[in-house]
Amino acid sequence: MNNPNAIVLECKNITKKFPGVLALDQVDFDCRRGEIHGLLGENGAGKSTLMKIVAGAYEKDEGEILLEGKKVNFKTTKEAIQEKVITVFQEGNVIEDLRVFENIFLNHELRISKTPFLDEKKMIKLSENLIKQYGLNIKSTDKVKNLSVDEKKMVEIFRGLTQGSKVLILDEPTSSLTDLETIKLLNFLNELIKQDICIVFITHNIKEAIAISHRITVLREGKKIKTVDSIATSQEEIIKLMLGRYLTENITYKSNVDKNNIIFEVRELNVKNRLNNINFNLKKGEILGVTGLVGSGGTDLAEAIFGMNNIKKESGKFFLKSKEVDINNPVTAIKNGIGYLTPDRKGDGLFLRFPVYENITMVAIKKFLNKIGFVNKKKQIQISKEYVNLLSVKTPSVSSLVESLSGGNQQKVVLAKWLEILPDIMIMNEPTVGIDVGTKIEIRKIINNITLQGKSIILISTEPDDLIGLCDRIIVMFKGKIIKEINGKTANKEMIINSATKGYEKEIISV
Amino acid sequence: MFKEKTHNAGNSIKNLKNWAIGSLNVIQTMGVFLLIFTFLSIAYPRFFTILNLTNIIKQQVPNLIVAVGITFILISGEIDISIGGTLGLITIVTAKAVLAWGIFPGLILGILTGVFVGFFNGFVVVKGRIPSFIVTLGMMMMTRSIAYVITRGFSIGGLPESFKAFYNFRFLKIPVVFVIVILIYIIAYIALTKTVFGKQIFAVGSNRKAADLSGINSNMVRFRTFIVLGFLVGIAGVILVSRLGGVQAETGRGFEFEVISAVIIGGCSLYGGEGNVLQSIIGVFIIALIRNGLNLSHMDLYWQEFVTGSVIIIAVLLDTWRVRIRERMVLSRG
Repeated sequence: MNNPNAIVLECKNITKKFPGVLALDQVDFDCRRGEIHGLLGENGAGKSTLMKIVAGAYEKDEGEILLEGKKVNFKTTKEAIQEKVITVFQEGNVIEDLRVFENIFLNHELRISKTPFLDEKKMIKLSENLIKQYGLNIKSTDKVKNLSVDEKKMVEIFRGLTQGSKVLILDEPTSSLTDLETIKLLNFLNELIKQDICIVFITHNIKEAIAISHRITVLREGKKIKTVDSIATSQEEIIKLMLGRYLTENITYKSNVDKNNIIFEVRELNVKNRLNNINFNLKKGEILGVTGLVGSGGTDLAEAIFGMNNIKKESGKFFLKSKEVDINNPVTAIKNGIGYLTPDRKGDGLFLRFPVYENITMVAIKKFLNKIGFVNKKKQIQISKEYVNLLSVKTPSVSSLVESLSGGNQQKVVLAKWLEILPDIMIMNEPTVGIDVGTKIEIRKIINNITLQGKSIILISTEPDDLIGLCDRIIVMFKGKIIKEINGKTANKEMIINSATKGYEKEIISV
Repeated sequence: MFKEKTHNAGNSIKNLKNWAIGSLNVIQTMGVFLLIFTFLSIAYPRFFTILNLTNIIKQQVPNLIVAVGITFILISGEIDISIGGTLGLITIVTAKAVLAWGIFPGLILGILTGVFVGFFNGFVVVKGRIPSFIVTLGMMMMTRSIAYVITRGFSIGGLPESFKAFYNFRFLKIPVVFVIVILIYIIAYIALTKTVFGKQIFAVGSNRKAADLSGINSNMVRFRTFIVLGFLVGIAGVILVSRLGGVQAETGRGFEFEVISAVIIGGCSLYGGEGNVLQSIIGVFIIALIRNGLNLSHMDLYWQEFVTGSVIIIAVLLDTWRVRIRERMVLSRG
């Protein structure tokens, strides 16, 4: 309180070993009162590990942590919360069926004094104050499931605030947000920092980090590389610090589209409350981008084409090479040469407890049978090794369990799974979500290479960098409708965001 | 050159560690088995005799056979608690049919009864999208009821001697039923580890949604798994009739929990996607040894169920711990 810029959180020489890996190697880190401190690094650099140690989720092997100059050693997250160190995890930790104020006061509910009864009035009033103070457009009595993703994050942050947090750790808070939602959240953080707290901001997005934080610390392979002042740094410098090298700028992707050869067509596709009269075609060798705000219909479209049973078509016809096809389940979709890479690789893309080679060969398993019909493990391993080399998947061996790989490498395994059967049409939904810059670029190159083999791709993404230059055309969706088509080679970020947010124009808050 | 060598050395230590993590359940179950076995051998002189040991194995034939099917079911992420009732019904159907039409039709009808129950269970679970626990709970009561309707509560005896002799029939001094058990295990082991069906069972149990999205017809896989189990219960049922010589509607009461707990003790995960038939053998014998030990110790009969029950809880606790330990050891970097 006395010194406005005093160091609140200080980590000294933190070392953490996991079996076979030195996750953190004598890392120093500090965060001052009133500061947003960006923490950057590639997947596996140790960002989350460091913050999990601070938050009591992991125990450190060496080093010490000081909170306002006092040595602390949290054994559980509960202890950390008691000392006002609050973490908002990436996955989101709100209870959808409870109302906003109930989520804000979750586990520290206010009671009418000297009784066991909850003081709802007071909780609602305090919640309303917070909502008003930060200019949110929600009510404290709304069910949380009706909020947008950014608003949910803010509710979680409010929970930390009402617990009197000194240190607020945000683990990739923007990874599941669209650009517009990100802007709203960053504005919110800018307001928030005027309070008496410090914020550690873990992110993959370099631009965001530079825009919002006062200082940035870069980790690489478990070591602290450098702490820089955001004003005095550039995107290029951060990338160099993260990767240890400059990225080759401005990659150009080769287009292989055969404009006269329509391979797939969707006509008058309607799904109640989800998709509204969708018509489009896909050409041979084309990458067709589909974008929009989160929940604008890209995923529904993919699931409808792939025949998933949660989508009930009201009407709509699919044409493969001008012949109508009936796709009612993923099995027939795959038989018809359609593959689907889902956005949730851990949830439904991978068998986490299976080794890498079992995952890579799962879709094409029938290609690995020997003469008597048994699965040929040698062949599975041999082919998997080829993919591991081709896509440079970082794994100790093809027999390692997929759950032990980092996110980017897991995504490469999912890609390899589909590359092995190489369907004519590949639907990819957020193929680069939650992975580091270097791997993102590698994956975009792989996507480009697939089309060079004459295959077509529907690329659904809310990240403009996935689409610009890589896609031949980009379809913009809003509330289940196609509202615009853009030339992918000449598109820029502003064009995409502007069209995607057209419906929400009134709500845009400028930075 | 030298560098490469140290790298290899590091790798082999890592491999050893990974192997140890991966084999945690094998080590655990084998250890428990040896511990009980050694204890019984020392404590009860009557335990380590050829007669006692052969008897244990012989008694476990139906459990061993059905344990294979339950292993499949648990790996696929489902459960079947109707096997006890089904076993009862099969023994009744077999006995009645043998008396009416002869041995061979009896065997066929008995096995078909098992297959039919499996078919029904699988169909309702898959098409009705009802949890298998509920469907098979209902089936457990239905099959038991039919068994009572057929027998009106009386036991069935007077089966031909030649049918009863089958159980004790030896080929090259080895009981034929042992050969059947060994064959079933070999086929099941190969089916699980070497065939597409086996891979798909694991995939469906590990992550059903991912399996569907990988083009696996998870409904069909689960359906077929129920039929495999039904078939095996059928075989176990007809063998049981041959051993008992006479049957009643009550046969097989509690059988489901004995087999399911044995398979779980063997290291098959209740959460699906994990398990192996060879470990299930150890599980079956751990339960058998505990029962045998309790008999030898002359413990109060009414307390014996209590002990077996507590063993089941401990086994599931171990399963949960194992998952947690592994999760902690698998590196989570970020």
